[in-house]
Amino acid sequence: MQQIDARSPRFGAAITTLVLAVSLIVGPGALGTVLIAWQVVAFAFGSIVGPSAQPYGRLYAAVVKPRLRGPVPLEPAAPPRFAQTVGLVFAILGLLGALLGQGSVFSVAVGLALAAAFLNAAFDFCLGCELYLRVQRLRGAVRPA
Amino acid sequence: MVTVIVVLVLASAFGVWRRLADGRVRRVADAVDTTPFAAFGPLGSRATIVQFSSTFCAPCRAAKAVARDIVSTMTGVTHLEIDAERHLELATAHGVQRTPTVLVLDGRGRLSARIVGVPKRDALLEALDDRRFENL
Repeated sequence: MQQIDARSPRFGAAITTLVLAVSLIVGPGALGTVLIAWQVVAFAFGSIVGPSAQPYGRLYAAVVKPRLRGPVPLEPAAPPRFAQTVGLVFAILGLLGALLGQGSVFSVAVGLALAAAFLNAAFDFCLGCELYLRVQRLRGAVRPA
Repeated sequence: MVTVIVVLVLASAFGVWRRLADGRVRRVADAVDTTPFAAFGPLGSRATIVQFSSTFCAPCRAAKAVARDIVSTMTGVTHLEIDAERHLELATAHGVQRTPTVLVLDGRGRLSARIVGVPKRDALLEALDDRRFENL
Protein backbone atom coordinates (compact mmCIF):
# COMPACT_ATOMS: atom_id res chain seq x y z
CA MET A 1 0.00 0.00 0.00
CA GLN A 2 1.31 3.45 -0.93
CA GLN A 3 2.47 5.50 2.07
CA ILE A 4 2.65 9.28 2.33
CA ASP A 5 3.86 11.80 4.89
CA ALA A 6 0.92 12.06 7.32
CA ARG A 7 1.44 15.82 7.78
CA SER A 8 1.03 16.59 4.09
CA PRO A 9 -2.79 16.16 3.80
CA ARG A 10 -3.34 18.40 6.80
CA PHE A 11 -1.15 21.12 5.31
CA GLY A 12 -3.10 20.76 2.07
CA ALA A 13 -6.40 21.01 3.96
CA ALA A 14 -5.27 24.30 5.51
CA ILE A 15 -4.60 25.80 2.06
CA THR A 16 -7.87 24.34 0.75
CA THR A 17 -9.68 25.98 3.69
CA LEU A 18 -8.15 29.33 2.76
CA VAL A 19 -8.99 29.03 -0.96
CA LEU A 20 -12.58 27.94 -0.28
CA ALA A 21 -13.12 30.59 2.39
CA VAL A 22 -11.96 33.41 0.07
CA SER A 23 -14.06 31.94 -2.74
CA LEU A 24 -17.13 31.93 -0.48
CA ILE A 25 -16.46 35.48 0.76
CA VAL A 26 -16.11 37.01 -2.73
CA GLY A 27 -19.06 34.94 -4.02
CA PRO A 28 -19.70 33.36 -7.43
CA GLY A 29 -18.28 36.28 -9.43
CA ALA A 30 -15.16 36.13 -11.61
CA LEU A 31 -12.65 35.73 -8.75
CA GLY A 32 -14.78 33.24 -6.82
CA THR A 33 -15.30 31.17 -9.95
CA VAL A 34 -11.58 31.13 -10.76
CA LEU A 35 -10.78 30.08 -7.18
CA ILE A 36 -13.29 27.22 -7.12
CA ALA A 37 -12.16 26.14 -10.61
CA TRP A 38 -8.57 26.03 -9.36
CA GLN A 39 -9.72 23.99 -6.35
CA VAL A 40 -11.48 21.54 -8.71
CA VAL A 41 -8.13 21.07 -10.51
CA ALA A 42 -6.29 20.57 -7.20
CA PHE A 43 -8.84 18.03 -5.92
CA ALA A 44 -8.84 16.24 -9.29
CA PHE A 45 -5.08 15.69 -9.10
CA GLY A 46 -5.34 14.48 -5.50
CA SER A 47 -8.25 12.20 -6.30
CA ILE A 48 -7.42 10.79 -9.74
CA VAL A 49 -3.61 10.72 -9.65
CA GLY A 50 -3.10 10.54 -5.88
CA PRO A 51 -2.06 12.71 -2.92
CA SER A 52 1.56 12.95 -4.11
CA ALA A 53 0.41 14.68 -7.31
CA GLN A 54 -1.84 17.11 -5.44
CA PRO A 55 -0.51 20.69 -5.93
CA TYR A 56 -0.60 21.48 -2.19
CA GLY A 57 1.11 18.16 -1.47
CA ARG A 58 3.85 19.16 -3.90
CA LEU A 59 4.15 22.56 -2.24
CA TYR A 60 4.47 20.77 1.11
CA ALA A 61 7.15 18.44 -0.23
CA ALA A 62 9.10 21.28 -1.87
CA VAL A 63 8.84 24.02 0.76
CA VAL A 64 7.64 22.74 4.15
CA LYS A 65 9.06 19.24 4.49
CA PRO A 66 12.75 20.19 4.01
CA ARG A 67 12.38 22.54 7.00
CA LEU A 68 10.94 19.88 9.34
CA ARG A 69 13.19 17.68 11.43
CA GLY A 70 12.68 14.34 13.10
CA PRO A 71 11.14 11.11 11.85
CA VAL A 72 8.53 11.25 9.09
CA PRO A 73 5.15 9.94 10.26
CA LEU A 74 3.77 7.77 7.46
CA GLU A 75 0.17 6.86 6.71
CA PRO A 76 -1.58 5.03 3.86
CA ALA A 77 -2.51 7.22 0.91
CA ALA A 78 -6.05 5.82 0.62
CA PRO A 79 -7.83 7.91 3.32
CA PRO A 80 -6.63 11.34 2.10
CA ARG A 81 -7.29 10.29 -1.47
CA PHE A 82 -10.89 9.46 -0.59
CA ALA A 83 -11.20 12.88 1.09
CA GLN A 84 -9.91 14.50 -2.11
CA THR A 85 -12.60 12.66 -4.08
CA VAL A 86 -15.35 13.89 -1.74
CA GLY A 87 -13.90 17.40 -2.02
CA LEU A 88 -13.85 17.10 -5.81
CA VAL A 89 -17.57 16.28 -5.94
CA PHE A 90 -18.50 19.33 -3.85
CA ALA A 91 -16.07 21.62 -5.70
CA ILE A 92 -17.53 20.57 -9.08
CA LEU A 93 -21.06 21.26 -7.76
CA GLY A 94 -19.85 24.67 -6.56
CA LEU A 95 -18.24 25.43 -9.92
CA LEU A 96 -21.39 24.40 -11.80
CA GLY A 97 -23.43 26.62 -9.48
CA ALA A 98 -21.16 29.57 -10.25
CA LEU A 99 -21.09 28.96 -14.01
CA LEU A 100 -24.87 28.45 -14.27
CA GLY A 101 -25.68 31.45 -12.11
CA GLN A 102 -27.08 29.36 -9.26
CA GLY A 103 -25.67 31.31 -6.33
CA SER A 104 -27.29 29.17 -3.64
CA VAL A 105 -25.91 25.92 -5.14
CA PHE A 106 -22.48 27.57 -5.15
CA SER A 107 -22.80 28.68 -1.51
CA VAL A 108 -24.05 25.35 -0.16
CA ALA A 109 -21.52 23.22 -2.06
CA VAL A 110 -18.53 25.45 -1.28
CA GLY A 111 -19.75 25.83 2.33
CA LEU A 112 -19.85 22.04 2.84
CA ALA A 113 -16.43 21.60 1.22
CA LEU A 114 -15.10 24.40 3.44
CA ALA A 115 -16.51 22.69 6.57
CA ALA A 116 -14.86 19.39 5.61
CA ALA A 117 -11.49 20.97 4.76
CA PHE A 118 -11.51 23.05 7.93
CA LEU A 119 -12.35 20.02 10.11
CA ASN A 120 -9.52 18.15 8.43
CA ALA A 121 -7.03 20.98 8.98
CA ALA A 122 -8.04 22.00 12.50
CA PHE A 123 -9.16 18.69 14.02
CA ASP A 124 -7.51 16.03 11.84
CA PHE A 125 -11.06 14.86 11.14
CA CYS A 126 -11.35 11.62 9.15
CA LEU A 127 -14.11 12.04 6.59
CA GLY A 128 -13.62 8.56 5.16
CA CYS A 129 -14.22 7.02 8.59
CA GLU A 130 -17.55 8.81 8.84
CA LEU A 131 -18.83 8.40 5.34
CA TYR A 132 -17.43 5.30 3.75
CA LEU A 133 -19.30 2.70 5.77
CA ARG A 134 -22.59 4.55 5.40
CA VAL A 135 -22.07 4.88 1.66
CA GLN A 136 -21.23 1.18 1.41
CA ARG A 137 -24.39 0.34 3.34
CA LEU A 138 -26.50 2.50 1.04
CA ARG A 139 -24.94 0.89 -2.01
CA GLY A 140 -25.57 -2.52 -0.45
CA ALA A 141 -29.21 -1.59 0.05
CA VAL A 142 -29.53 -0.58 -3.58
CA ARG A 143 -27.45 -3.33 -5.14
CA PRO A 144 -26.96 -6.34 -2.85
CA ALA A 145 -23.46 -7.78 -3.13
CA MET B 1 -18.42 36.70 4.95
CA VAL B 2 -21.27 35.78 7.29
CA THR B 3 -21.58 32.37 5.60
CA VAL B 4 -17.89 31.65 6.13
CA ILE B 5 -18.10 32.59 9.81
CA VAL B 6 -21.23 30.46 10.33
CA VAL B 7 -19.60 27.48 8.60
CA LEU B 8 -16.39 27.78 10.63
CA VAL B 9 -18.24 28.23 13.95
CA LEU B 10 -20.53 25.23 13.31
CA ALA B 11 -17.61 23.08 12.15
CA SER B 12 -15.59 24.07 15.22
CA ALA B 13 -18.46 23.18 17.54
CA PHE B 14 -18.78 19.80 15.82
CA GLY B 15 -15.02 19.24 15.97
CA VAL B 16 -14.77 20.06 19.67
CA TRP B 17 -17.79 17.89 20.49
CA ARG B 18 -16.25 15.01 18.53
CA ARG B 19 -12.91 15.43 20.28
CA LEU B 20 -14.65 15.12 23.65
CA ALA B 21 -16.98 12.27 22.70
CA ASP B 22 -14.53 10.17 20.69
CA GLY B 23 -12.82 7.29 22.43
CA ARG B 24 -15.15 7.33 25.41
CA VAL B 25 -15.92 3.92 26.85
CA ARG B 26 -19.57 3.08 27.09
CA ARG B 27 -20.26 0.16 29.43
CA VAL B 28 -22.78 -2.39 28.28
CA ALA B 29 -23.71 -5.85 29.48
CA ASP B 30 -25.17 -7.70 26.54
CA ALA B 31 -25.13 -11.34 25.67
CA VAL B 32 -23.70 -11.71 22.16
CA ASP B 33 -22.99 -14.58 19.82
CA THR B 34 -19.18 -14.68 19.80
CA THR B 35 -18.97 -17.34 17.08
CA PRO B 36 -18.58 -14.85 14.20
CA PHE B 37 -15.75 -13.08 16.05
CA ALA B 38 -13.86 -16.32 16.66
CA ALA B 39 -13.41 -16.60 12.88
CA PHE B 40 -11.05 -13.60 13.00
CA GLY B 41 -8.69 -14.98 15.64
CA PRO B 42 -8.50 -16.44 19.13
CA LEU B 43 -10.78 -14.95 21.79
CA GLY B 44 -9.03 -13.94 25.02
CA SER B 45 -9.67 -15.84 28.23
CA ARG B 46 -10.04 -12.55 30.11
CA ALA B 47 -11.17 -10.24 27.37
CA THR B 48 -11.19 -9.69 23.62
CA ILE B 49 -10.78 -6.30 21.96
CA VAL B 50 -12.78 -6.44 18.73
CA GLN B 51 -11.94 -3.58 16.37
CA PHE B 52 -13.96 -2.67 13.28
CA SER B 53 -11.78 -0.84 10.74
CA SER B 54 -12.01 0.34 7.15
CA THR B 55 -9.63 1.23 4.33
CA PHE B 56 -10.23 4.98 4.39
CA CYS B 57 -9.48 5.28 8.06
CA ALA B 58 -6.24 6.71 9.42
CA PRO B 59 -7.44 6.71 13.09
CA CYS B 60 -7.98 2.93 12.83
CA ARG B 61 -4.20 2.58 12.87
CA ALA B 62 -4.01 4.61 16.06
CA ALA B 63 -6.74 2.45 17.63
CA LYS B 64 -4.85 -0.66 16.58
CA ALA B 65 -1.65 0.65 18.20
CA VAL B 66 -3.48 1.29 21.49
CA ALA B 67 -5.02 -2.18 21.44
CA ARG B 68 -1.79 -3.96 20.49
CA ASP B 69 0.07 -2.15 23.23
CA ILE B 70 -2.45 -3.29 25.82
CA VAL B 71 -2.49 -6.85 24.51
CA SER B 72 1.30 -7.05 24.85
CA THR B 73 1.14 -6.12 28.52
CA MET B 74 -1.91 -8.10 29.66
CA THR B 75 -2.28 -11.85 29.67
CA GLY B 76 -5.50 -13.41 28.45
CA VAL B 77 -6.42 -10.38 26.34
CA THR B 78 -6.48 -10.58 22.52
CA HIS B 79 -7.15 -8.09 19.74
CA LEU B 80 -9.14 -8.88 16.59
CA GLU B 81 -9.43 -6.50 13.66
CA ILE B 82 -12.40 -6.80 11.33
CA ASP B 83 -12.71 -5.02 7.98
CA ALA B 84 -16.16 -3.45 8.36
CA GLU B 85 -16.60 -3.03 4.60
CA ARG B 86 -15.95 -6.67 3.83
CA HIS B 87 -18.03 -7.84 6.78
CA LEU B 88 -20.79 -5.30 6.49
CA GLU B 89 -23.45 -7.62 7.93
CA LEU B 90 -21.49 -8.24 11.12
CA ALA B 91 -20.73 -4.52 11.42
CA THR B 92 -24.39 -3.65 10.91
CA ALA B 93 -25.49 -6.29 13.42
CA HIS B 94 -23.35 -4.56 16.03
CA GLY B 95 -24.48 -1.07 15.13
CA VAL B 96 -21.12 0.04 13.70
CA GLN B 97 -21.77 3.41 12.03
CA ARG B 98 -18.21 4.59 11.57
CA THR B 99 -14.69 3.37 12.08
CA PRO B 100 -12.89 2.68 14.28
CA THR B 101 -15.50 1.14 16.58
CA VAL B 102 -14.18 -1.12 19.32
CA LEU B 103 -16.16 -3.73 21.22
CA VAL B 104 -14.88 -5.40 24.36
CA LEU B 105 -15.95 -8.97 25.01
CA ASP B 106 -15.41 -10.28 28.50
CA GLY B 107 -14.03 -13.73 29.30
CA ARG B 108 -17.52 -15.20 29.30
CA GLY B 109 -18.22 -13.98 25.80
CA ARG B 110 -20.46 -11.13 26.80
CA LEU B 111 -20.25 -7.65 25.32
CA SER B 112 -18.97 -5.44 28.15
CA ALA B 113 -17.97 -2.16 26.51
CA ARG B 114 -18.26 -0.15 23.30
CA ILE B 115 -15.96 2.60 22.10
CA VAL B 116 -16.53 4.74 19.01
CA GLY B 117 -13.38 6.50 17.79
CA VAL B 118 -9.81 5.87 18.93
CA PRO B 119 -10.03 4.45 22.47
CA LYS B 120 -8.29 6.38 25.22
CA ARG B 121 -5.68 3.97 26.59
CA ASP B 122 -6.51 4.31 30.28
CA ALA B 123 -10.25 4.10 29.68
CA LEU B 124 -9.83 0.94 27.63
CA LEU B 125 -7.56 -0.58 30.28
CA GLU B 126 -10.19 0.16 32.89
CA ALA B 127 -12.86 -1.46 30.76
CA LEU B 128 -10.70 -4.57 30.43
CA ASP B 129 -9.87 -4.64 34.13
CA ASP B 130 -13.48 -5.09 35.04
CA ARG B 131 -14.34 -6.22 38.55
CA ARG B 132 -16.19 -9.14 37.04
CA PHE B 133 -12.85 -10.73 36.20
CA GLU B 134 -12.17 -11.25 39.89
CA ASN B 135 -14.76 -13.96 39.95
CA LEU B 136 -13.07 -15.97 37.24
